[in-house]
Parts: sequence; structure tokens; C-alpha cells
Amino acid sequence: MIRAPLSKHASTVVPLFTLLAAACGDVPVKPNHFAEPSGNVRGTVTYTGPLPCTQLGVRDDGSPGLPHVVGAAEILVFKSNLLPPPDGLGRSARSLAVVPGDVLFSSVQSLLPNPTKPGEIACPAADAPHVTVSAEWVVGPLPAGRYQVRGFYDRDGDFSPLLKVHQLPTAGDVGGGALTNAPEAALGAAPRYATIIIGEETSALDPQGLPVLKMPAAGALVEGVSVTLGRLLDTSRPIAHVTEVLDERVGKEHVTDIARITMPIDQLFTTSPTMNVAQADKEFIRMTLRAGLPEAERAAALDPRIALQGMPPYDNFRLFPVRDADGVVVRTTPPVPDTFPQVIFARLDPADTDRQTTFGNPAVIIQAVVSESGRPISSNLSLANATTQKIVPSVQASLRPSAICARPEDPYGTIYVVTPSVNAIDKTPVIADLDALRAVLAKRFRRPFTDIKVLEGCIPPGKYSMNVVHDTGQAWTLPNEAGVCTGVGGSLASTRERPTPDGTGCTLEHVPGSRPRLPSQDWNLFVGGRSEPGYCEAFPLAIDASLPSSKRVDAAPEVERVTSTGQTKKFAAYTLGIPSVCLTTAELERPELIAKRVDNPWE
Amino acid sequence: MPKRKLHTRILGGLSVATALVAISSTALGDDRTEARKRFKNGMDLISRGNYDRGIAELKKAYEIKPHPNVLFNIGRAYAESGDLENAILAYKEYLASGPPDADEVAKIVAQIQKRLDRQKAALAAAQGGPTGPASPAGATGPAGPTGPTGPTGAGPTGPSTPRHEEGPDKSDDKVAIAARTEDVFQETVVTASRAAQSPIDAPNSTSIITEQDIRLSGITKWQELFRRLAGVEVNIMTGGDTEVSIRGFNSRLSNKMLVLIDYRSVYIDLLASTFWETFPVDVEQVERIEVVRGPGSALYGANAFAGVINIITKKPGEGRSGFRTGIGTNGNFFGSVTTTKRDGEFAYRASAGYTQEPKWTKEVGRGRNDVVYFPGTEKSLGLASQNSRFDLQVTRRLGKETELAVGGGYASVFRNLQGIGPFNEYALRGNLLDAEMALTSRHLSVRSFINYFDAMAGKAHENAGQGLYLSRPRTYVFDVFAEYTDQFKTGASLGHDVHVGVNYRLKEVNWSYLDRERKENWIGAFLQDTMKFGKSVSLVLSGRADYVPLLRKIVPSPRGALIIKPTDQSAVRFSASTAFRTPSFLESYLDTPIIAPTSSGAQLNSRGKSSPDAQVDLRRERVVSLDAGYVNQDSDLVNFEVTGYYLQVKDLVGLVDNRIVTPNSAYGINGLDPETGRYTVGWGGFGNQCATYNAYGSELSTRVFPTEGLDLFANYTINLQSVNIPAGCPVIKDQKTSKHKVNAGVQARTKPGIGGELTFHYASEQLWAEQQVPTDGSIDIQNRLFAQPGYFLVNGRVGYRFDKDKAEVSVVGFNLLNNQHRQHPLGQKVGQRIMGFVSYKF
Repeated sequence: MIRAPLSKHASTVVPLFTLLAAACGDVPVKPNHFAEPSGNVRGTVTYTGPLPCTQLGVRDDGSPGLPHVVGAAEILVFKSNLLPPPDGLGRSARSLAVVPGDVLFSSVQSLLPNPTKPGEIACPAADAPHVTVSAEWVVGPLPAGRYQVRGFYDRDGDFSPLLKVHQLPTAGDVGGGALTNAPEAALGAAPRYATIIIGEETSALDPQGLPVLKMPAAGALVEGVSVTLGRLLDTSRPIAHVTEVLDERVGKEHVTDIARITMPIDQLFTTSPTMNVAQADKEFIRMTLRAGLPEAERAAALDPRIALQGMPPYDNFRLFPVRDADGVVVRTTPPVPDTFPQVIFARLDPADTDRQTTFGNPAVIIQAVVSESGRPISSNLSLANATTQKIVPSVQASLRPSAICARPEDPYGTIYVVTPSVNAIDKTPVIADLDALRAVLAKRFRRPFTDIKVLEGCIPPGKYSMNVVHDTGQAWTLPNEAGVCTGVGGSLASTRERPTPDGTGCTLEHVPGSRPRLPSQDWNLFVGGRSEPGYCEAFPLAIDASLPSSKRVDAAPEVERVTSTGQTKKFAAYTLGIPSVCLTTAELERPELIAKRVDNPWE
Repeated sequence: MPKRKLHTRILGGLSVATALVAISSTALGDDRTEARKRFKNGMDLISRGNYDRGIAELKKAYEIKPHPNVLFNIGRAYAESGDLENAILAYKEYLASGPPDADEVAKIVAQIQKRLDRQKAALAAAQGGPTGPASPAGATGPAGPTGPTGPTGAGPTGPSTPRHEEGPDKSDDKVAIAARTEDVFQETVVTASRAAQSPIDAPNSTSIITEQDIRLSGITKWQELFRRLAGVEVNIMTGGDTEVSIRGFNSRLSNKMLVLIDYRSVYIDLLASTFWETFPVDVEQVERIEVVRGPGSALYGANAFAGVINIITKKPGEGRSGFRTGIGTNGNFFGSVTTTKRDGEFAYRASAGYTQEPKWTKEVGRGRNDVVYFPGTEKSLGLASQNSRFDLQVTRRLGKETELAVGGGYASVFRNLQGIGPFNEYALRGNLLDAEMALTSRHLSVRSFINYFDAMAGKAHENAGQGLYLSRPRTYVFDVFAEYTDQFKTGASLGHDVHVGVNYRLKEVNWSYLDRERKENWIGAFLQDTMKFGKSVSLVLSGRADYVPLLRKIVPSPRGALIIKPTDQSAVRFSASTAFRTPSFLESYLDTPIIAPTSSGAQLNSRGKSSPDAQVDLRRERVVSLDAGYVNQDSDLVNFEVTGYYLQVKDLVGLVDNRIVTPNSAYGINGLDPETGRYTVGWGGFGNQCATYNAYGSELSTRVFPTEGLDLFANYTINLQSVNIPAGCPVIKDQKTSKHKVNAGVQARTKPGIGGELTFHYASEQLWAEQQVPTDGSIDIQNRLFAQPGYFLVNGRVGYRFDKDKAEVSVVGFNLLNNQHRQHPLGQKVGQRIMGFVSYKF
């Protein structure tokens, strides 16, 4: 029935379908930025160490659940140019893979201890033989770049990637990573991390002389990355609290309230502490940091909701000089050696009322001079040649009135050192050799020498967190969640912790009761106020070009930023006397915000 | 797009439009309008005794748009004019359509036949020939009248005296034949009031997608049919996912509109969405689609929030059997075959089809090292949707006004869609089954249906470190609805049309994304009274109460509408109504850990009802609507409608910002989930927004019939929105609906059989707040604003009918000017698509 009309009109139909057949084709590939090619890393994690503990689960009705191995292997992937302190300016790992203990130790299940009561944790005997087990892991997506993989087995099960008080290994955990010297590291040598390359090398070179990496259209898969965990960490995190403030600066109002330690944005030295080390202490605002928690807070710290029970809160500090990769003692303030623990203050994002977020763009840090508490800074000189670590219950952190401004996310960005003056009031040079400082910082931050600039200007105002950092990478930050009722990022009122009326705890709307709050952990440094009216406003000063570079500061650059309205705008080199490179775009757009923070940094 | 190129394309499009207009000078216009015009004219001529011309007009009307009532009137006119042979032929043709009054008409035919026989006998006697029954076809000579024209002798059209004299009539030969004067070509809608009425009388602004719209546009994709309507937003997300919204409040999965197929809800309660690509029927089975703008919870309960779309399919035995098939760009394919037949009291319609739609773009290609693919899709990444379907509908008349309808459908589907939040590309493959039964009578009707959905679902592709979230959602819905209707008068002139209904619905859901298997029993009841105060004023009061298990409460939904008709074909309408959308099963009972986008070892626990957070106890979305409109169809040349509306919307459900873990919510040992082996770093899920939205808008629509064969339409929609955001409320202000929308089109049919359509669509820019994966390496899934520029589309079709309009070839073009654009900021880039079709109707 249909054939007749079709054949009659075949001259119409056939060309039509021929045309359509020609139009048929494959659908083009056009990834949006959520499906762009990325990289994955796969590998095995091999653990050598003591058997883990096992915990018996608890069902809702209180009956015994399944037993679980306590802890997990934490595999942290860092960008090579964003390593965590003390190796870099990185704030957190780029990605995290987790191999639960149940998976990692599945091959030695018969050797695991057997808890019998619901919730009970059973641990192996101290003399139980060590085991070697392995499992596979995968992490992604990762952009093109060079990475390091660090890791540890969280034996006490207290790790949390989000909470500052739990995001690093503690004593008893077993550390390691993707190492090039795994056997030696297991015996105590400093670990050397392998560089994992994701992407294809191009012919272009980056400022550091390395080939620029490009992600292939098909994505990248790096397989066979071996992570070895075998170094038993014997040190706890450098938990600390501030116990005392000392300020003997001539003619200055002495601060006695440790809750309001404030460094002026234009603090100057009367005389150069580097030229006169013996008198240096009187030039700094100093504070005493005690290791661990105050006695009064230790019981509360055991509350499972703070869960500091896994880490002894009353450790000591190990004081010893910082050495670079060549074993040379680092002296940022010559001749005084830099020491561990390092104490680094980082500018907090004022938008975060919980004071848990540091600025990342740009990051502003102030490094303290750390010395033994109760002894002068000059006592550090004797540490330079020490062969052992000095165990001390407290240290003195002297506030260096200079800031480092950098963009951690920009591996090729310039790092700026900002100081109100390279000379003391008596004209003695605070930094005797600027090139030497540039060289030290270049080495530390793995940047070319030319990327380190020293500027004169006032220090960005605001609140700063304090980070106490061990050589192992273990660190402690104030303020932290144990001291602050948090809720950062949470938009619902019911997810924001609120302090109890007496301030000793924090409540959450949908969680019964309150968890303790440790007041010693609610601390931050303030930078604000002026020593000398009009000092900052005088910037920029003319640069004496006749001086050699080792004596000459750099010119602060104008800053180009994309504003909140999406336009690219150029800002002057200084804003209220502060180098604009140290300020956020919001502050540059609204200088009144900076003025407010200078006048009242405590709000 | 370079400017010159764009201009050239626009000029090209205009040229096509001009050509179509030129062709239409000898064209046949909108078939419904034209048939209606012919019918009215024919009936008028017949009433004035001009039978020959009147019958010719009716025949033309029937030719354009067949309707049994026209045959009846042709038969009646022939009978009145004395042409009994042709009267019998016409009535027999009418009877062949299986009308409900077949018995009565059969009697009429018998009476006419008797009369004819008598006439023949008389003639034969006069001529001295034999007597006996005569075949109408072979009958010659004068024919007598059919008797009185109405039951009381005061029929509306017929003359009181016959044109031809015959012998004395016997009283038992008298046949009461009333003319069927009702305007059978008047547009009729049933959705706004659950009763047949003109859209002019409807309490809500109602548009109709006619069979002609479907044929002349060539569109096979349901959603694209609605793009031409005022107040309706159509957003292409992927090749297999186009979302339809009404009067704003768009979302990636459109959740504020109730879609029905012959009153069967196809709303997917699991996700609060309509899966258009999974229907067991296609456009070939459609008689018309009614689009009711404005809240409809007063009649339909939950989810008829912004409007109701009711797809009315052709009744079994109506329409024609045949097939249509088409092939197009990138493997686009459409095939549909329908067979329909009536045999006395029994009728059936069976249809089967296959549709395959390609994506507009692929987000990922084959062979990616970093990606895992939804099972079975790596070799066909360009495929957006597939639908193999079968549907059978059977009816049986059980009496004069009672009918039993039983049917069922099955579809095997694959679908690629934009999910919610960071689930950007989602895929599902599975089966849908439905079965329905309806027993309808004059006063009581009982309808029941079952929907069953079983699929494998997961992300279409994902980084290997993240996983696909594969799952198997299954849903089962059983619904039974009983309705009693009656029409009566109180007092002297107050007419009532009362509808009372009760409804029970069972919903069962099993999905690993939810906390556990869920089963809910819903009960609803409604009452509606349309009160007619004389001929010109109607007041419609409706109200429905639904028990919503999730909310553990009864939700009332009142509606009131006042309709004033200055003329028969125009009306002013004021209405006020409320509606609600209940949170979907996913929104309510979500329990799925979402892997942190840039950290394989961390997860956000997305929780609904089982969350420890009391604030997650969701409330219903609420809307209050005020609507005023004026519709005028007085003229045969131009129809128009103007509406204005105000919507106040509260408690919109959306993804909440991540609730970051605090020491208080870390729950013991820092949130290492022993089941997933990942750390819980935050809590997510759905919450009610704290903002109140006020939307104001207006819709202006017109349809012009300047000459036979030419039908022009145009409409403009303005949708403005203001948001009240209380202090501390974290809602990001966006504009998910275009402020301005313009549609215009021309439809043409020509005598040589060439016909087609050219349409233009414009939607202004939008701004979407979407929770998305950050690109800065942080673990948060953040709410970000995405701008969506405005866009335009020119679509068209040209077809050629031949073999007595049984066969047709056509070419359909979507986005003829190949304006590369997105219709959602995260959607695929839309380009041009061409399809060629062949169809044949028996």
C-alpha cells in the first residue's frame, strides 16, 4: 500500500535521506570545566610496624557489632611547590586517600587482638612482632603538576582531615611516604620524597627551569606508586599555650594581658638586634609558650568530642637549629640560628569570625625568633653547634616586626619581605645583608633568588594565628577548635556551635549537652595600632639606587587585581602605608577596612 | 558568532519565513479554525434552508478535521432536504465511528429507510412497477423530508416544512432528529476543572498544543512542543534532558509542575521530576496537550505547584493507524507505529515506538585514563536517550454513558541527564511499566493506575578516584481516584456543576541513596463547585485536602476563580489559589556519602530525615497565586489573551551549604566511616530556604488567521522576581528564569500538500546559583553563581503530503541558524539538528 506513493515520490525521499545521512556524524567532545582531563595516582601502601588495635563495634541497641581495626593509612598528596611547613607555605594536602585499617590488615586478621565488649579497644602486646602488610590505593582528580606523597598510619585513630586538632600525625603513628630512600628512612634517616609527575612535559620551561607540564587530552594515570610507612613517630604534636608576655621596649606601653598581645604595624627597633644580639630581647615583644595544655584543662581535653585523649597534652618542646638540605644552619636573623620548634604567625581571614581560616591570597606570615624560655635570644647562638636536641618545657617566641607576603598558589610569584624599616632608629642596620636574607628565603621557599624582594612598609593589620611547627611536620595551631566554638562554612544556625553562658563549653543545636572548650586554645596575635602617627603614611620612600643590592630595598610594585565587579584594576603600590601586595582585593577596594583594623585590631 | 554571519543567518531565516507566507496565499489555514468556520457557516446555511451549500460547507469541515457530529449533521441536512439516500449514507458513516448514541441513530436510519422504501413503493406503484425495499445507493427520484426537526418540533436549525412533498406521514414513522449544533471544533480543555469546557471558561489560563501543532512543527520531543507557549520555560540540559517549567522557579530537575498522561501522573516522586524521555507513548498518539498555568493543587494535590500539563491521547478507535519514522543528525532516530480500531462497543489502540536522541556534546570522550564510565556507555558516549516502548489501550462501552478503559504501557529506556548539585552528568537505564483502568459514567468515574520504575542509575562518568555512585532505584505507585459529578440548579437561575473526589495513593521507594526502603500512604479529597450566575458570570470554588505522610499533616489547597464573559467568546478571569510541592523522596530521606570532590578520602554525609539536624525536617514548598486575565476569541481573524500574575513562594527546597564538621558533630573517633573508609568532613543535604520570593509577570499571546492557510502566533512573557532575604539568611540571589521571553511563528498548509512551520524563540539571560565542585582544590562543594546569556532559536519544518494526504515526507530543523548556545550554564552547548521524516496514515 505504501510502496506505490513512495516509489512515485522516490525522487523526493531518496535525496532527503541522502542529505540526512551525510549530516549524520559523531557528537563532538566539549568538556566543561567539571569534566576536564585530570590525573589519578594509583599505587600500593606497605606498612611495616606494630599490629594495630581493634575495637568492637556497638549496635544501636547496645549489642556487640563488628570488630574494626582502629585507624587507617592516610596518604596525603602535596604539590611539590606547596609543601606543608616547615618545608613550604602549603596549608593542606591537595588530596587525600585513605586505606582503612580493616583493608590494610585484612591479610593478618588472625593476628589481631580480639575485644570482647561492645566499644572495647584491644591492643596488641608491647612485644608483639611487627608485621608487614600492603594494600592498594588510588587518589584523584589531580591537575597537572609535580607532587609528593606523604603518609602515615593513624594507629590511635584520632586523625581528621578537617579539624586542626586532629589533622596531623601524633606519637605512635607510623610515618612515611613515596620515598626514594625508604630503607634508610625506616632506620631513621631524613625521608627523601619522590616527585610524582602528572601530565606531559612540554618544551617550555618554568622560571625554575623545569619543563612545564600539560594534562593530556586523555587524562593521566600514574600507577605503581609505592608508599612505605615504617617510621614510628615518637614525638607528639607541639601542643602549646601562651603563658606570659614580655615587652621591655623602651618607652612603649607594656602589654601584660596575654589575650591581647598586639604588635604595632610600624614597630621599629631602637637599635639593631642583629648588631647587638645581647640586647636583642629588649627590642622584641616576647611571649612564653608552654608545651601541652594548662593543668586545669587536661581533664576536659579527654572528652571524646575534643578527642585529644590520643595525644599527650603535656609534652615538651625539642629545641634545635634548623638546617637546610645541605646541613647548613639557617639564620634568617643572623647571627641567631633559626630553631625548631618554629613559631609562625599567619594572618587570619577577617571574614571568618571563628578565626580558623588563614589568608591564602596573599598569605601573610610573621616568623618569630624562638629561643629557650627564661634565657636571652643570644643563648640560641650556642645551639648552632649542638649535636643533640634540647628538651625544654617552654620556649620564648619573639615577634619579629616583619612579614612575608606570598601567594602560595602561585609557584612563580614573588615573595615579599616587608619591614617597617631595614634600619633601627639609631640607624644601625636591622638586616645587615639583604642579599643574604634573599638567599636564605629563596632556598627555604624553593624560589629563584630574584623572586625574593625586600620592601619597606607597614605590616598588614588584623588577627594572626600561631603555628608551632616541629621538624617532623607535626604542628599545632592557635586558635583551634578545642578553644573556639566553630561553625565555619556552615550556613545554618543549627550547625554553628555556640558558647555556653559560662564560656566553658560549646553547644550545637541538634547535639545534646555541650562539649568542653579549652580557653588556652582560644588565642591569637593582634597586629594593629601605630607607634608613630604618620609613619606609615610616608610610604613609599625614595629608594637610594646608589646603594648596592645587599643594602638596598626593592620598590613595591603596583598591584593588578580582578575586582569584585569582575574588572581588572590597578592599585597603587601602597595602601595606607602597607604594601598592596600584602592586602586582599577586598581591602584594596575598601581601604577603610584596613584603617579600621589598624585602629582596632581586637574587634 | 561573527556579526555578519549572524545577520546573514537572520536574513536567511526571514527569507524562509517570507517564502512560507507567500506559499500560504493559496494555503489552508489552521485546520481547527478553518473547520470551525466551515461548520458554523454550513449550519447557518442549513438553518436558512440552503441545504446544498450548507452540506458542502459541512463536508469541507469534515474533510479538514473529521468529527462524527459533522457526519450526523450532514445526514440530518440530507434528510431534511429530502435526499434520503445520502442521508442514510451519512448516518451509516456516522454509525461506523461507534458513537455512544448508535442505537438511537440506528433507529433513525431504519425510519428513514422505511420512508425511503415507502417512497419507492409509491413511485413504483405510480409507475406500475414492483414494490419492495430499495437500496439507497440505487435509489433515484424525489425523497421526502425527515419529519419534525426536533423533539418538540422547535429544532434550532431545520425548517418546519419539508421541501418535497410526500404521502401522509404516519405518527409511528416520526423521527426526532435534533441538530448537533454544539461547536465541535471549539477548543475544549478538561484539565483546569476536570470537566470539558472551553479554555475561555477555564479558571486558569490554559493553552493547548493541538494535533496540528504537533504535525506542522514536526516535533517529536515532548518538551520542545511547549517552547512556543507563553509563560513556559524550556531549558535543554543534555540531549536527553530538557526541563520544562511554568512561570519561573526553574531548576535543574524541574519539580514544580505536574505532568499527566490522560490523568495518570508521571511525576517521578523519587527525584521530583518528569522523565519525559521515558513515556510509553509518543506524540503520534496525542490528540492534544493542555497546559494549565498557575497552581493546580486544588484539584490535583501535591506538586501541581506552578502548573499542570495533561497529555490527552487519542481514544482507542479514534484517529488513524499508521507509522512515522525519522532519522537525523548524530544518529537521531524516531519511529512510531500506531494501530487503532473500533468494533462496535469495543475499541483499541496499540502503539510501539523507538526513539534515540544524541547528546549535544560529550563531556568526555572515549579512552580517558582518568575516568570511569557508566556501565555499557563507553562505546556510545554520544547517546543521550533511548526509548523502546509499547502501549495498549482498550475501551468497552458498557452502556449509553458508561465506559470501561483498560490499558498499559512499557518502556525500556536509557537516559542521560543533569543531576542535582555536583552530580552533573547522570545516567540511568531501566524499565518502566504502567497499567491503568478507568470506569466512567455520567456521574461517577473511577480511575486507577500503577506506575513501576526499575533502573540502574549512577554518574555518567567520573574520575576514577571518585566513583560512579551506581545504584538501583525502584519505585511503585498505585493510585485510585473516584469522582462524582453532577449538574443542578438552586434557586431560579444559579447553576451548579459539582465535582467531588477522593484519592488514595501508595508510594513505595527503594533506593540505596535513601536511608531505607520507604512506603507512604497518601489520601486526598477535593470538592469543586462551578456556580453559574446567568450566562455571563461564573464562580469556581475548589478545595482539596491532602494528607502528606512526610509532613505528617493535612495540607489544604483552596482555589477561587471569577469568570465574567462579556461575550460568548471572551472572558475576564480573576483567580486566587495556593499550591504546594512536597519534598521528594531524595530530598526527604537522602542518606548518601558524597566523596569530597578533590579528596578521595573525605566525604560529605548528605542526610535527609535521618540527619541528626532537626532543621533538615523539611517543610513543603508553598505558593500563593493571584491571577487576572482576559481572553478574546470573538473574531475569526484574531484571538488573544492577556494575563497578569503574582506569585509568592516560600520554603523552597534546595541544597544547603555544607555543614562542616565541628568537634560537636564529629561523633567520636573523628568521623572515619567504617563502611566507606572515608572521613566525614561535612554534612550536606536539602533544606528549606529562608528567603521569600515574589514573582510578577505577564503573558501576552495572540493567534492570527489573516487568510486561509496561514496561521500566525506570537507571545511575550515578562517574569520579574524580587527576593526578601532576612538577615543571616544565606540565600544567594539569582534569576533562574528569563525576564523576557518572546515566541513567534507561522504555520501554513497549502492545497498542493506542502505545509510547515517556522518559529522564533528568544529567552533573555539567566543567573543560576548552583552547588558545584570548586576548582581551587578545596573540599567544599560550594554554591556559585553561573551566568547564562540570553539566546534565540529559529526552528522550522517543511513537509509534503501526497496520496490523498495519507503519506507525508518532511524535514524538521532545530536551531536552523546554528546559534551555538547553552540553555543552562552547566548544560551542553546546543547546536543545529536536522531530521527527515516519512509517515503514512491508513
